[in-house]
Amino acid sequence: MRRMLTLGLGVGLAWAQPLAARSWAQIEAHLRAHPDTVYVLNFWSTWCRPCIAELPHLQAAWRQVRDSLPVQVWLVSLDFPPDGAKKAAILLRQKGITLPAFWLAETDPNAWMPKVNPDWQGTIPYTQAGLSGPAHDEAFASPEEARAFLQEAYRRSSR
Amino acid sequence: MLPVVTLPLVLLLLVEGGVKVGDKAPAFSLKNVDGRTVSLADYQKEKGVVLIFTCNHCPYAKAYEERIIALHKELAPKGFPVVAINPNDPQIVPEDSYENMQKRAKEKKYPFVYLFDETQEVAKAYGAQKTPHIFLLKNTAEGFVVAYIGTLDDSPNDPKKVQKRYVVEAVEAILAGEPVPIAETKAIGCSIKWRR
Repeated sequence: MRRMLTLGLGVGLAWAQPLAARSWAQIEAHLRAHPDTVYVLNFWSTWCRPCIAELPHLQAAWRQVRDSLPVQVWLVSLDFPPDGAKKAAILLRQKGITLPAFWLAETDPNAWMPKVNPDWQGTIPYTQAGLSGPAHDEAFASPEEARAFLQEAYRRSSR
Repeated sequence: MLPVVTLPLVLLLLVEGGVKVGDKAPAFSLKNVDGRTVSLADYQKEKGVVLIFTCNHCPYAKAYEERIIALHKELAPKGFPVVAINPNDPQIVPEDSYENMQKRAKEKKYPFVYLFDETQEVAKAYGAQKTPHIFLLKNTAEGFVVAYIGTLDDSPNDPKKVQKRYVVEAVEAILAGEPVPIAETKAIGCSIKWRR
């Protein structure tokens, strides 16, 4: 019985609606239209182990600050087409990550990466606060580290 | 409503080290998948070398694998063979071990050498950060000089959507005796797995 339940749950978790596709221009437009919220963009992918490891830290950190700070955390998947948006959605579901998530519909990194941050060297995970806030080019090792970044992102935006 | 304040530019400390375009290419001597030791000096008769830090496991490396094979076939006859180097620590990613490199090279019939940078010193000397990360070297009277650093082309996810072939364009410029039009691009990829 328990085995059947596990199996049933496994099948349920293996299905998910693919993440919505967003171009960088769409993300940027949303951020510009909401200047009072600090959007922290986390660029990740399902095949990037350190990225997956830090997702729970980001989620925990956001839950700690969401009532006190106008900070949102968006996950932006760089998984490959054609099935990347779906793979990413399934992984988030399996890991219990409920942060808003999108799939980045872009092809040329040299066109969109410098717009996120000209200093980005092209490795992930990469976390960028807003359109000109602080960036973090390594995985967060703990919820505390992620929370410190969210607080710093807010502090720098409200100065 | 919170006041909207223009953010000051974020000054990030860029990790220096490694080579820049125009610098002399650091020498290396590494073990190939066939057991031979291959050195940069072995390529003195060539017009240049397409040095590619890559690996077995990274999805970007996999996405580019066929294109790297095709690149070698296209550019080796023009005097620019590909030299692939795996800089990853197999303790972190077992798929990138020397034995697995041998397997992969055999399976895919790599027409180029695939060297193992076990000490990671070559990757550090060049300032490679990810896989794939390309350093195009040009052979000059003063030895090998870095002519281009970055990615292969403008569409990592989909070879059919490639419009700019940065490495090929750089090689063509060198062959024509002209300056490389785009000498630096950002390369997206998996971070090199440095030994802890």
